[in-house]
Amino acid sequence: MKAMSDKEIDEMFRQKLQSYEDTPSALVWRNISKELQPETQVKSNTSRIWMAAASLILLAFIGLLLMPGKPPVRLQASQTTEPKPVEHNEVPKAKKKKLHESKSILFLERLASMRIERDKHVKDYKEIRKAISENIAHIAQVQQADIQAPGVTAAINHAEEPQVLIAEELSVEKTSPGPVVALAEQEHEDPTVHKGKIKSLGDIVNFVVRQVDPRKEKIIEFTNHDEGSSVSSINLGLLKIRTKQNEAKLN
Amino acid sequence: MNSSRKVLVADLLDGCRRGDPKTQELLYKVLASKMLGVCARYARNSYEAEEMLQLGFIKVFRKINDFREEGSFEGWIRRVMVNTAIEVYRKEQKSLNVVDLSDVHDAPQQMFDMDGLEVRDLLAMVQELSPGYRLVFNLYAIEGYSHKEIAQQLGITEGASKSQLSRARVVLKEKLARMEGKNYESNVR
Repeated sequence: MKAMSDKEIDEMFRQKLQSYEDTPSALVWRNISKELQPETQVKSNTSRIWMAAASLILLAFIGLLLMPGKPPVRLQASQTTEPKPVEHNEVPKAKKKKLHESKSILFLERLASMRIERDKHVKDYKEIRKAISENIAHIAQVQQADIQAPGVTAAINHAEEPQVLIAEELSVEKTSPGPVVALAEQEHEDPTVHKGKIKSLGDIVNFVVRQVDPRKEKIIEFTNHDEGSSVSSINLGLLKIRTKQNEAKLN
Repeated sequence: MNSSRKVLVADLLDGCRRGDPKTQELLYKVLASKMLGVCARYARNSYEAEEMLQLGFIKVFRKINDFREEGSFEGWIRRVMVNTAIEVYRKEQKSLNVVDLSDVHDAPQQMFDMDGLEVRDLLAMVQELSPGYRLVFNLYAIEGYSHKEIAQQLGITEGASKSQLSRARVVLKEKLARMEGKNYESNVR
């Protein structure tokens, strides 16, 4: 047996053991992946939070874009690019400003009047219903009177009175007041789509867009159907998307 | 060949940074055997070695962003394993339970001709060393650390590191002598 130096011993172990390999049991990886799993779940949670944040920002942006009372987003060539004499510049500016102000006030007024209008309609309907029910009661009375008493004419006269009332009210209905007429004028561009009152979220968006976007084909338009309302056309200037039914309407 | 290997390592690194489980598993499969070889030298037995391997790989995946691509990826992972072994040792030093190692491990296998068996015997010799000797011997003789580095890592003096190493060598020499004697006997018969 020969004596080995310290270096020789170190060298021998290093050479033999440095490249030593052994296959671990399958359990090792299972434990590692189990240990790492909660981390990946946390990651997916954070990504969900980011998604939510992004969609909120997007919604806010769309809201700002469609907010009434702002100068409308015009995708056409603007008038200001035309050369104008300096003296005339100030007057139109002031006018324009007034126009915007009056436009926003007008919009609020319209909204308010629409609400009043709706209340009126409800009231009217109630009155009509009351009158009709009274009328029916009177008819019953008249029939009874027919059988029982000689004073028939008086009862009929009595019964006729509410009928006249109904006729009057109906005429009031037909000649609807100012604000609605004003709206109808706005809607004149595309009467097939924009008739009727606000029934859904789509209608509200349509209404607001109509205030902001003066073009024939609006930046976004909703159509009502049985299952609510959906986007029927989008017009981004260069890019126009339209559903088939809407296309048919336009042509 | 070399470039394709580089691409593979870059892909593995990228996937692990993203926390992709499939890439993590692939990296583990590529390096597990090699790293278990490292851990085995620092452990008393194969169970402890696998435990170290597990701890080490969890650390690799969690601290993947600490890898600055200054050296090789494999080299970095190997260092993580060695550091894990050091941590395990330090924890053991704190808790004062002493286990008689000779009972835990089988007697060294007799070697005849197979080189592989010889490696296993040498490994067994290292594993049978007491924890302090084993750690210092591994770090100095196999990993190539200096006594200064070992002293820093283990929180001991350089002198303590040197004396641990020389005592480890003495034990190993005795074991080698015993093994050679056995070999001689078996060859004569």
